[in-house]
Amino acid sequence: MSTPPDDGHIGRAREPADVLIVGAGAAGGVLAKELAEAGLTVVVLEAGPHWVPERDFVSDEKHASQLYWTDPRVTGGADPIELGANVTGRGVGGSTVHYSMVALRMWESDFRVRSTDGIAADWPISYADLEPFYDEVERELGISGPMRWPWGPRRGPHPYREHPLNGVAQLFARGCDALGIAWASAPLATISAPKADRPPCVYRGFCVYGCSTNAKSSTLVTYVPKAVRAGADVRAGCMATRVNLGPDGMAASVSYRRTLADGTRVNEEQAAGVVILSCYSIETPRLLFNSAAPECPDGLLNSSGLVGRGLMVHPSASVFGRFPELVYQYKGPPTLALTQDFYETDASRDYARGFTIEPIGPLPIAFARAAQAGLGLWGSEFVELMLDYNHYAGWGIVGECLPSDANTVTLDPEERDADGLPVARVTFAWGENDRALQADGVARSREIAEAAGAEVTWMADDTAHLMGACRMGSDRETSVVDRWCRSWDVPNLFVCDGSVFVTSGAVNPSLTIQAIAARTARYIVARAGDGSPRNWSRDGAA
Amino acid sequence: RVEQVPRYRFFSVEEARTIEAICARIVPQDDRPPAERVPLAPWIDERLHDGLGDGYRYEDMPDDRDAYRFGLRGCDEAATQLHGQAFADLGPGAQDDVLARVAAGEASGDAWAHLPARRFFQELAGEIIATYYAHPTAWAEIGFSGPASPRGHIRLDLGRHDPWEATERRPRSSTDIVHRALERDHQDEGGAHATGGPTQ
Repeated sequence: MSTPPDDGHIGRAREPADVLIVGAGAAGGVLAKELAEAGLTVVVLEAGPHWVPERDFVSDEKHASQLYWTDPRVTGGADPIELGANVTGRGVGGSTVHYSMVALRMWESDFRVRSTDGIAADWPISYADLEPFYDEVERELGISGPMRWPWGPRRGPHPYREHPLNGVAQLFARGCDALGIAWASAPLATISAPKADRPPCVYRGFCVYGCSTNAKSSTLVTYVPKAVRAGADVRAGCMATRVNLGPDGMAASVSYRRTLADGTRVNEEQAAGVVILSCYSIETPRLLFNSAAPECPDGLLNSSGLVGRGLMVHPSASVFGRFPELVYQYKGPPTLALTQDFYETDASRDYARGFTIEPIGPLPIAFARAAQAGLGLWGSEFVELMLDYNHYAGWGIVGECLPSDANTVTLDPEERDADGLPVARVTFAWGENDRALQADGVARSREIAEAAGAEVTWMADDTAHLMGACRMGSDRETSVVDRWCRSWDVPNLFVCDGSVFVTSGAVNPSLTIQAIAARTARYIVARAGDGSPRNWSRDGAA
Repeated sequence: RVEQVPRYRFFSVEEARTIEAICARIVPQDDRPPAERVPLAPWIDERLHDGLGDGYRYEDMPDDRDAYRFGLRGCDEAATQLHGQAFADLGPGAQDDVLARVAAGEASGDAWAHLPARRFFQELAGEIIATYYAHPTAWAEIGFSGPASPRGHIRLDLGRHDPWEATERRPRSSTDIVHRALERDHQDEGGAHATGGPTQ
C-alpha cells in the first residue's frame, strides 16, 4: 500500500473549505478540478491511497485486489450481486483506475424512458443538458474513438484517433459483418497519441488492473493532478464517517478517520460551506444512513424514503467462442469494438429497452473463473480447457436494468466495520424485463460468435457497474437530489456520483457520471458568485 | 509467490490435509514432480490468517474464516458418510464424487446447516483456480506472456504474435470438453453465477 503523499499536511489548521468533496473517483476528481480552477478552496477526502502508477500498479491480476473496496459488505436478495473487484474502487481515481475505459454517451431516450416506453421514470435533465459536458469531459480525458459514430445522438469526431483492433475485436467485427450488424471501434479513455506529459497506450492489456503506462485517462492522472495544481487539498487515507449538520440544518462539516503512515487511525473533522458526496451507489447511501440525527432519524437526505432505493446493475453475461485462429485475447484494451444496433426498444422483441454488445479480454484468472463457473468445470478437463486460452474470444452485453425500489442499499443490522460503523447491505433481484433482455443479449452475442467462426460457444453470467440509490428528480417526494445534484433536504449538501442515475442506460456509466459532475461543478461555481458559496438558502433551489 | 510460500497459520493440521487434497482435485498437478507443483492451499491459508476479504459476503454465508472451517468439515463429513474415510484418505474417484455432490448442493453432513454447499464450492473452486492462474507456471502452461510492461504489444492482429509470445507446440482444441460440459446440462440452468467475471 502506498502512503498518502500529503502526510505533511497533518497537524495544519483545518480552515473551513469552500467545498468539501467526499470521494476522489470518477465524479470527485472532476468536481475537484473544476471547482478549484474556479478559485474555490477545495478539500477532497479519499478513503484509499494516492496511487503512484509506476510504483503501485504491478501488472499482476492477483495483486490488483488493492484497487478494490474490500471492506466488508453483505450482498443478498434473490440475485445477489458481486461487489468487490466487480464494481468498486478505492484510492485516488476510484474505479477509473481499473475500469475498462469504454467511454460511451447515453442516448436521448435514456433520459426519457417513462415518456418513450411508459416504464421506469424520466430524468429531470435531457441529453441536450448534458451534451456540452460530454464534449468537455471527452476533451479533458482525450477519448480515442472513431470520426463518425453510427448510433445515437449526432456527435462530432472523438478528440483522439481510434485504437487499432486486437484479435478479439477483429473476430467480433467479422461476425457482425456477416450478419449485417453495424459495429464501430470503441471510444476509450486511453490515449492513442501523446497528451501533455502522458504517452500513448502500448497495448499491454493490463488496463483493468491499473495502467503503469499512464495512457489510461483515470481521474488519478487527468483531473486530480489539475485539481491539486489549482490548490485542491486531496487527502488520501481519510474515510468519511459522518456528515454533521449545524444548528441551522445546513451541512456544517464531515467527520473522518485518517490513517497515518504508521497505520494509526485518528479522528478529524473538516468544515465546509458546501459538501458533495461522491462515494458511489453503496458508500454514499451508507454515509447518509450513518449520518442519521434526531432531525433525520431514518438517515440524512431521506425525507422521501428513497435513499438507498433503486439500485441498478447492468446485466452483462458474456459468450465465449473457441476459434481456430490464435486470438491472444489478453492483448490491448479489453474492449476495442462494439455494437449498439440493439440499443432501444424494438417492437419485435418481448422486452423493453436494449443493450450494447462489447468484446472483452479477460486475463487468465478472470477467464478461468468465467470458464469454471460458466461450464461448471473443474479438475483435469478444466485444466485442459485452459490450455486453449489463446483460442478464445468473448463478448458480452451491457444491458439496461429497469429500476426497482425493492433493490436497495441499507445498513446491515449486525455487521460492523473496523471503525465500528454498520456496513452496507445490498439487496438485489432481477425483474422480468431484465431477464428477457439478458437472454436475448446472450442469444445475439452467440449468433455473432458463430458467424465469426466459433467452433463452440459457452456463456458466463455476470453483472457490471452500479447506478442509482440516490436518484435525481423534479420534486422532493420522488427523488433525493434535484437536477443539479443538490439535495432537497439540506441546501448545501450535494450527491454527485452514479447514485443519482434515474435509469441505468445500456452503456458503461463513467462518462455520464463525469458529465453530470462537470455540470454540477458549473452550477456551484455560478451560484458561488464571488467564490464564497456560503449563502445557500432553503429557497431558490433550481 | 514463486519462492516464498507461507507456512500454515490458519488451518489446523487436519484442515490443511483436506484443503490440499481438494486443491489437488480442482487443479490436478500429478503430472509434475512434487517440487514443481504450484502451491495453492498455503496462499488460501495466508489470506484467511491475515483476515483479507474480497469486499463482500453473501447473506447466506458466514464470514470467510467460518465458511472455510465449516465447508472443509462438511467435505470430510460427506466423505466419511459416503465412502467411510476422511476426504484426504480417499482415492481420486471417491474424492471427485464428494466434490461433485458438494458442487451440486447434495452433500450430506451437519456442517452444511451453516452454509449452502453450492455457494461454498463456488467460492472454494474460484479461489483455488485464481491462486493457480496467478502463478507464472500456469501462465507458461496456457501461453500467457505475462505483464508486458513496459514494452507492451506491437502485433495485435488476429493470429499475429510478438516474438516473446507463446506459439503452440501441440494444438489441441477444447471443443469436445465444452460439448461434454454443456451436455451435462449446466447451461440450461442459465449458468452458475460467474465469480470474478470478466466485464467491468
